[in-house]
Amino acid sequence: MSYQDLRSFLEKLEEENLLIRYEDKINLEPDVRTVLSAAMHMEDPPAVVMDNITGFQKGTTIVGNVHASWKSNAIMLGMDKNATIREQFFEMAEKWDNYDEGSVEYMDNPPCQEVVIEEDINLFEMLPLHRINKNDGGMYLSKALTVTKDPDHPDDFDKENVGIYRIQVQHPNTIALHVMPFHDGGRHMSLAEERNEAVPVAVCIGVPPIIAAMAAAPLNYDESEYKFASVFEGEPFKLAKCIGSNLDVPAYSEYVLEGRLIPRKRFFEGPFGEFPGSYSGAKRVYHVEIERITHRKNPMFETLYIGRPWTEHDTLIGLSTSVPIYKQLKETMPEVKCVNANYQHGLTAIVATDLRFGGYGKTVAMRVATTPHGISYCKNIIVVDGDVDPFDMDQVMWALNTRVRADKDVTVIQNTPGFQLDPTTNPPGMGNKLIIDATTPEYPDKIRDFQMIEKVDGFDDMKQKLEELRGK
Amino acid sequence: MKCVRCLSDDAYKAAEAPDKSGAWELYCCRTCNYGWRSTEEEDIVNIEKRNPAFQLTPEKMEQVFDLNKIPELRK
Repeated sequence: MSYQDLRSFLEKLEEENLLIRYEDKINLEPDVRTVLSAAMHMEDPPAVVMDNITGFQKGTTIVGNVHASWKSNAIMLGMDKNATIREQFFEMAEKWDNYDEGSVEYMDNPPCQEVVIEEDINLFEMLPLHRINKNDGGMYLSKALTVTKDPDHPDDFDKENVGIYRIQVQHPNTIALHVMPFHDGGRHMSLAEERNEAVPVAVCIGVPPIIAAMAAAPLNYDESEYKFASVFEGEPFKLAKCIGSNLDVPAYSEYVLEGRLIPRKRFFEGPFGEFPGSYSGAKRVYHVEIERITHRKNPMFETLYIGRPWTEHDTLIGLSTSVPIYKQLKETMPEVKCVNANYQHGLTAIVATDLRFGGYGKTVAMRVATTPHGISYCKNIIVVDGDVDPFDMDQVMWALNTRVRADKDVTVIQNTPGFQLDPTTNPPGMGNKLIIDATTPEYPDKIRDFQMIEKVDGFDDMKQKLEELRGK
Repeated sequence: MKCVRCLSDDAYKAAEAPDKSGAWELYCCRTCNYGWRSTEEEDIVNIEKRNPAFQLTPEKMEQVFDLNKIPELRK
């Protein structure tokens, strides 16, 4: 099943009882954040559609928590909604290898350009913007795609970047773009400024769910998020050309904001409540001036509540973080079995691996710390045996409790890169790596003799039989 | 108009409720780029009740860094 637009995915979520329509009158502040964060703490957190918004015409619609639950994530991946997180991980990992099969297709008269607005642009009146956390510096777009080209290679499709960055709408037609220098979008902006060029920037709101997941993944510079999305959809990803530039945007975007970078100037932005559950400091960042808004008829405004976890952000970004780390480890360490970097964008990573020889668990951990994402994000690295499921905290805690020798297996590497939004980094961006090797020692390392309790005979067959009995 | 965060006189009305109901107005500050809606909580819209940790002074604004450095121009 392919979900090339947000609307068809929401229909499926509603059919699966993973969507709530909230029809009471809401104020943009604080109600949007209250509704979405409360919904996140329900079992199987539902998407929520709100269409009765104070000050906006009836029919103006906000949707949030679209990627909130693992069931929604499984449906997005085309799996049974009850697929475990581990099964979803391996489904993603398998598709990851098929990048070359990805393709795109351009639509004439794309839905995202059904309505075109080029005059009197006032984003505050055209979009149901809201303050996401109480002390944010303003109204933010928290789940918009930012599309940019490499200014030195404007015709290289694979180098076009689609990323989710925080965007503050600061004035009626001006947005502030907060993109890290090491992100591909930041690289594009820097290249544009070397050329002193007001390059085009497109911001897409309300997009097919798989492209949001791919935009959140740390892909290589010359890998196209659109092609990856197509691999998961099993068909060409539908694109549109922007009206005012050669940028490519999802044809079924609910809204597209077309604008241009103001080069070589910086503007005050923030603070913003971020995924560690704390506010980031204020910065000076890029400004983009919006020249045109295009949208579908009766557009849906998609938002994401981010704050004290667990939030939609954690689910959206979880496996998109875990799988690339797994792939990078596997390149030189085939013994690695699975990676769980789902917690706060991989600040903690749990790796399951077999051991080639004594001390290998620690070697794997150091490799995690040198992957592109792990360099700054992965600060707590836990390594468990290959037969331990890193997504099952009961098993991970068992490994910690029965394998860790504190004098040999716990290591702190001081003064390493850290992630600046992590409040423990001090100065911001400088931290430490904690390695906990919870694997069973391999020769020539040793542990005192003990015998493991055998796996119970017939366990798997009996479990299945009992599940069937319960299902009757 | 005074900005509730940086207290400059550089704020302005940027928007009003699009359904013309007058339900809210939205203000922006040209100095610190803060934005707020007239209907938000008292500790957002009322200067006296705002959390001091989030208030700005010219000194605090000076300490803020550029997230992305401005590169050299190509020759």
